Amino acid sequence: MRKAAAGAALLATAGAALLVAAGCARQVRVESGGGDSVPPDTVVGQVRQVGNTPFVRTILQTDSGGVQVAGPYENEVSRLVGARVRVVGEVDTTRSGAMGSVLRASSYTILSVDGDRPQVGVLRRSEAGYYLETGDGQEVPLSTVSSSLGAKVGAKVWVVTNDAGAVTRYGILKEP
Amino acid sequence: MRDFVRTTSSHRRRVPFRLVLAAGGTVLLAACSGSGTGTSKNPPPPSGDSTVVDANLGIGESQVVPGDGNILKIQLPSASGAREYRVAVQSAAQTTSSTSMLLQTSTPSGNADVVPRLARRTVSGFDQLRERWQQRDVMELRLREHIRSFLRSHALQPARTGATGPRLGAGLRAATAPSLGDTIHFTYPVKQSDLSITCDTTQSSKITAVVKKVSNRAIFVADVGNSGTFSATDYQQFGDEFDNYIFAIDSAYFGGPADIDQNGHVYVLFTKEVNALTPKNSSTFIGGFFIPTDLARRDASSTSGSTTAGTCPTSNEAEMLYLLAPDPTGTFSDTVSVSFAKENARSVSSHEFQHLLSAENRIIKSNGTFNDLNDVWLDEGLSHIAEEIVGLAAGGHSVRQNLTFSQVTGGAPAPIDPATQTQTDVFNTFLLDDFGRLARYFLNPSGTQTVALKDPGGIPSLQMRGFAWVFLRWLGDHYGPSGNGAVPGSNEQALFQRLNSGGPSHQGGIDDVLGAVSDVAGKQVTWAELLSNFSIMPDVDDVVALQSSVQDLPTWNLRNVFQGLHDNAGTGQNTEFQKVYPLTVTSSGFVADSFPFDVNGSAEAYFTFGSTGAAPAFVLRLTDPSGGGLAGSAAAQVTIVRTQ
Repeated sequence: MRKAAAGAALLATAGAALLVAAGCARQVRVESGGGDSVPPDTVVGQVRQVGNTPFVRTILQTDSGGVQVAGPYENEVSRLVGARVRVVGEVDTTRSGAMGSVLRASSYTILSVDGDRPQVGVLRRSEAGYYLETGDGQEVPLSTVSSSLGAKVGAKVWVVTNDAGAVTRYGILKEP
Repeated sequence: MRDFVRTTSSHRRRVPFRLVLAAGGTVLLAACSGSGTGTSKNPPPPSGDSTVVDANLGIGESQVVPGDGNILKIQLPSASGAREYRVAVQSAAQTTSSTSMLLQTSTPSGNADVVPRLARRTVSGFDQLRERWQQRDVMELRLREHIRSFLRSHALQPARTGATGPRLGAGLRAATAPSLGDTIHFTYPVKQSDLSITCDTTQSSKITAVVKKVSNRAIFVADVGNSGTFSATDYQQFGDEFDNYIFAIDSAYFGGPADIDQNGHVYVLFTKEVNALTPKNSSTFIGGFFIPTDLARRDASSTSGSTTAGTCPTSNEAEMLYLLAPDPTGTFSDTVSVSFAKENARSVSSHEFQHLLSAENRIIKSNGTFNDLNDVWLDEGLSHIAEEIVGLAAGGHSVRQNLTFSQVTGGAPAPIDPATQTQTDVFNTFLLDDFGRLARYFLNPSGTQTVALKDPGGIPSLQMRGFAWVFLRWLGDHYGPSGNGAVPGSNEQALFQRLNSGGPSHQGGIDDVLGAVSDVAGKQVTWAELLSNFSIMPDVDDVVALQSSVQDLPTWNLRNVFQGLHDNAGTGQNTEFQKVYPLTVTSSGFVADSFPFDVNGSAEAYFTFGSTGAAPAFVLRLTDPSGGGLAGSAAAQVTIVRTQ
């Protein structure tokens, strides 16, 4: 789709990780949803976004092709373009076709962002400073947070930290 | 002691480095005057080491310094005269990510009493403008999100040649182009109530349209429910422009259509339904779109229900563009004059037709699937290239001519229609919006979500499009073959055709770019190498005679065009062009200072350091935010150009 703002026109003028993770090296399971009644399928691949707006889809690119990611976590996975991710969910075989399978995600795990395995959680701030509240209830202190990231308190984020606990790389998975 | 050379371009001055010290965790890379070849096979030093580079550059010379997970220290020599250096700090990461960095400057000789020519400042205004901009694109985001949700949950099979096309009136056959006055019944899958798209015919609607013009390549049809009409002269102009410019140039640049309905034509449907998608009193409007489901297989035995076996009963099985219709009475939304709808149609057609061609070349013509559609940023970027090249051809211009504002505007007749079109008309129709988007990218270069991206919608989407257009323009200028193609000045269309096909393995995104450069230009480059050359370009294009021509933009004189847009009474008050040159650059004298900043993946932050008088020795020290080594995964690198 091409979209334009009205009214702008020239007048015709004559001239014209490494999982440093602050010492906490563990695999992070991001979150789990429902769907326990159906045996889960697991797909590991690299996240892509394909197509022209407004018809953009999130794809998990695997060695054997692509799987379309759907469901409540699609929006978060879509913010991980380029990352290697494991998605657990239910493959909707009724919708299989030339476009490939559709995987309705019930959970996902970030395996690698540019070779780093990040920590995932909600960014919080206390009198002692910033920290990451992880899914298992741990609080990981963050010694240095940029002003841009600091403005995202309450957001679900992934972070890579150095030995000093400073956030060196990050991404926003869900806005506050 | 290990020797290696890093060279990023055959065009750039080759600067051999020699590891001369490895003590105390410090690695010194000294720029030497000798020659050498080869590529480093050595692993980067461990995090926390320092990479020290002496950058003794002549005017116009540049140097690229990789971070490699180190503290990066660039030493600039003292000089008796004025000096200016322009610096781009990049992350070549290919992911949706941000990297936090700290740039510290110092004058080791203590000679910091030089009056800085440039007081520290950030030339922007983005933060102030952002809120106003966001008012303008709510509608686009809403439509995108709703319609996107459809394709998330449906796997569709592409139609193949021999599709039946839209349902025609009695006595008509799909494989034959209809005639003037024929009635055609289209299926319209977009629901106005919530802007969602459906394959269920019980939820879709019908559009009955009458053929108004059949040109060599297009069938122009008008919804019988429209409140306004184009004249026969208008349709004649549409047909001439589509055949001779849009179809001809887009097909040459991006590959021809598959012609799934075998009628040799593209349907261009002017319909009130497009108008109705934009609520009244909106500051923006939807100009048109291409719907990929029109390329999906329509199960002939099913006229309703879900997408069993991946078919889509609401598909028209035809090449189709949907465009805004005239609505002078404001029946369906805000009024749309005939002249406004006409100008919209001329520019939107080139953009949307590229999307159609991209989908057909990657899916239908190469036995792909809908998963083989290109990455969002690249697909949109190619469509903005489509607008540009049609505009250049319409104005009688060539690529690689360093075009200035006065050259592309003015009252001179334009070749596309000398009787009615001036250069300014053509610029307004086809080229102005590309510069508007580019300005938005320039205003927020470090924060723009460039290549590793979900389309963010709203203003960030426009920023992404600005990046995508100018990156592809730069790519075509430097890696497209010479000669003359559909647009004179080069045969870059070979590069764009390769990009749009994805090659035999259906490459997408960055892999597609690197594959196209390899296949068409015969050059093996890495993404970091491409990015280092591209990313300094916005700040040095036409500023100084560059030793590395690949850091220039041959088609456009960007500073001149933006100056013209800023000065022009029609555009200068618009937010995009309020700055003489919109690029956000942090400027400072040769003084001790500290600059914390974030930079997105495949994006860059710009700095300028200079003096009016004698320049002291000056040191740039780039670290992670706590003063440690740069995150290796960020693929950080610095490109520095001496401009004075």
